Amino acid sequence: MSVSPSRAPADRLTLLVALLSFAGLAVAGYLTYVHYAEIDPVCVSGGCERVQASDYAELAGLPVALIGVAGYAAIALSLLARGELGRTATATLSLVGLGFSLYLTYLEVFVIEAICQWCVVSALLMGALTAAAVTRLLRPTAA
Amino acid sequence: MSSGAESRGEARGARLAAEADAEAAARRRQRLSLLGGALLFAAIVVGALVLISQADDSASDRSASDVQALFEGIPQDGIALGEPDAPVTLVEFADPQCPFCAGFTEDVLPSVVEDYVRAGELRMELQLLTFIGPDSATIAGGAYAAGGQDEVWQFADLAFARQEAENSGYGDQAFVEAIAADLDLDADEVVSASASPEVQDLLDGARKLAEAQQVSSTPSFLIGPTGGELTPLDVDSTDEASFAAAIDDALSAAG
Repeated sequence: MSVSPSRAPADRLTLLVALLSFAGLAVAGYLTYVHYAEIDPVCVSGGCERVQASDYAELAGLPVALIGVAGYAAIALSLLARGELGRTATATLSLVGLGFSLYLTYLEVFVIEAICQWCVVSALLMGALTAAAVTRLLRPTAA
Repeated sequence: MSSGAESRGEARGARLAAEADAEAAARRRQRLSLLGGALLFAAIVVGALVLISQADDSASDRSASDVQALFEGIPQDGIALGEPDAPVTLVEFADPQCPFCAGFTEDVLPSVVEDYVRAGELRMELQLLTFIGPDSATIAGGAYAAGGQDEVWQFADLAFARQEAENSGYGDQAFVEAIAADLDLDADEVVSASASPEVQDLLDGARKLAEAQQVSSTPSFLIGPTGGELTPLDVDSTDEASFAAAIDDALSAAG
């Protein structure tokens, strides 16, 4: 049967999820560094400082950026798990990430009323990641 | 013959195709139910995260009497705290809703007041900015209105102690009245004065000074000899020691 043509797109999706999670890791890692070094992030939107300094920058004492690092790392690691269960884990983790990103974006727009482009970039990465991970789950290889 | 074999082949092909379709459909259903489970699980986790985030209440436990004790006996005139002829002036820019400003007020201000202001070496000015939202303006108005009773600093301090989530609507008229009442101020007078042109002038003055000094975040500080040129003080607003060092420097520079 035609195994190889249907495997290729799924492998491309795995690669895409990996690349997106590394990009997310870089963004969240930078924001975590900025948080602990107590410096202002490089910011073109003007709102980063207010977002980073707001009450919502920490969750139960943990900086949100660090939670982001953990999330992206977990997604990247879940790619190592094989089969349908592994793909479900990746999709689940990215859905959690997307939901949390959407909540944080809501806070930025409606509560803190400041936009931090780093957070927007992270939310967009998480959106793309989720799309890729869900597609990967629904259209898996014929293994 | 050949056509019969062909049709048998076709029938077999169709049967196999139908089986493959059924199998594919079953797999699709299975994957969709996995996705459904993933969605449900994600919704529960995100819901829990949101609840934790909303319940995170960082309110301080300082009371009105703690605040009164800190400023007891120190002269105040409008936005200024301390002896008018203290050699060094420290200007603080703060938004009543800014969490780092509340952190500075809780962690660093008490030692600065006790060690330098009370000793007559430092006078401070409180420039209240209102960029975070409408609640900032209501609270800042209340604080400046308390200046009529020489308690701008007590008011602001207690407002920081009772700070809640930004723009959650906590900083309303009732919030201002409660602080005024707990500080034994004339609450009616504070409320009526908060809309006065004098208070508006103070808020405008703070905004203009912040613009002139290119203050883009709070808390921000200026330091220098009293009556002389003040320069931006770039220190970690959560660190007592770096404030003490900066004030000592300014004191020795001021002679």
